[in-house]
Amino acid sequence: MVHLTTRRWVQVGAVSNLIKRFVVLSATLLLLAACSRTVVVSGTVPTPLVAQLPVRLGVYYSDSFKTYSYEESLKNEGNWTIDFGQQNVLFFRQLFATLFREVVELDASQLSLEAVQGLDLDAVLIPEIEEYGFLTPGISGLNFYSASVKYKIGLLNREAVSVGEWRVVGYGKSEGGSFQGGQAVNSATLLAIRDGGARIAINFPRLDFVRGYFATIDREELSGLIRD
Amino acid sequence: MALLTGCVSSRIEQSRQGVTGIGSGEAMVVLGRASYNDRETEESFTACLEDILVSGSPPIRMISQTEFRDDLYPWFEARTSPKSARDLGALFAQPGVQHRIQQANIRYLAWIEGDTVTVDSGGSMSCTISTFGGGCFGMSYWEQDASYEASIWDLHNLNAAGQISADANGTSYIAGLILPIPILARPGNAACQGLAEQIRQFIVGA
Repeated sequence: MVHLTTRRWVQVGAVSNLIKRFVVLSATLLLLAACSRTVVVSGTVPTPLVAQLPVRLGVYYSDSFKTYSYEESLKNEGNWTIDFGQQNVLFFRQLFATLFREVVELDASQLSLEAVQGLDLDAVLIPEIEEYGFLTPGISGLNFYSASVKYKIGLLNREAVSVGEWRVVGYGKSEGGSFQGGQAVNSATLLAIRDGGARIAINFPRLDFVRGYFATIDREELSGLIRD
Repeated sequence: MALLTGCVSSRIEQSRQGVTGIGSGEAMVVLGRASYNDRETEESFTACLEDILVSGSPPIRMISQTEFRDDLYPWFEARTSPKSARDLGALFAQPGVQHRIQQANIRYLAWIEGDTVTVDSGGSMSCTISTFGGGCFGMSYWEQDASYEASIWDLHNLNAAGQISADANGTSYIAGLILPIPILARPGNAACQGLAEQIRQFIVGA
């Protein structure tokens, strides 16, 4: 009887230790998850279905554009790092390759009159990210995550002189559960990039300063497209 | 453990504006109408509609909204998509759009708006766990209302074919009797089933 009682207490003690370890481990994992999150944004890149402008364009992606990363420390939600430079470059490469007949990627040293004319470019585009922000349900009180990206698109002429700039904001939102915040921010940011890209694909060729500049390029097929 | 289900009351209404019918090989797309406020159709709801429409009798060939939006990018993004069937003419004038839709043989677009919200909740339940065991005691409930509307566009005739609305309401309970016993009413699921079957009859019928 005594041996049976001792054995029963030993078994209860072993189970009790197991439960304690499980609780401590779970709490530690939750705490670690709450401390910092890194989201490397990735997703599909659609090919725009838009009229192609028959121009030869140079595009300069700065290092800050190519490696854009946003960091923020949120109260009760830890540190967030959103890395979407790579996805951005992939998206804009696809966008500009579809929007313009020829695209030449430039480096910083080629943003000069000699280089632009040497490469026989009609114009140069410089996309930049001016601002990025995101909201979680914990901040907004709503039941979704959202993100916004503010782009600046600069246009240089054949003399590498600015003819105008255009700012456009892309916005995206995504549902997300309690433990799916990273996935939701990824989706919201992707949608924000798509939204910005859609605005650029449709509206950029129709901007007054863009149409005004392209009208100076003597190309019959171009004049018909920018007239609309 | 078998799941107990609660009661759901639902209502489906339909308004027809034209003759419908779907040929062999023709497809349909279900799109959730995006908005920039708190209320937006859940992706899970449109996925539910697709799953029901692609099966059943007769099955309807579906193009997923992700594939459709990618193929027609940038014309069906949240801020660029046509707001009414009257805008289809201008959309089809964009280079490549009509060809892409004809290539996929898409006959109908169904825009889904609405969502499922919790309209009431109450009760309380507490659960505890200790080294000697655990359990729950109490009862809580929540009432949900699912309200959705489908606007169906005919892409051959470039007009609105009709609207179908689905409303469902139900209350779910969780009773704590050592173990938590859920009695779930799923008005969102009921609305999806009802709306999907009505869309099928609408599309296939005269």
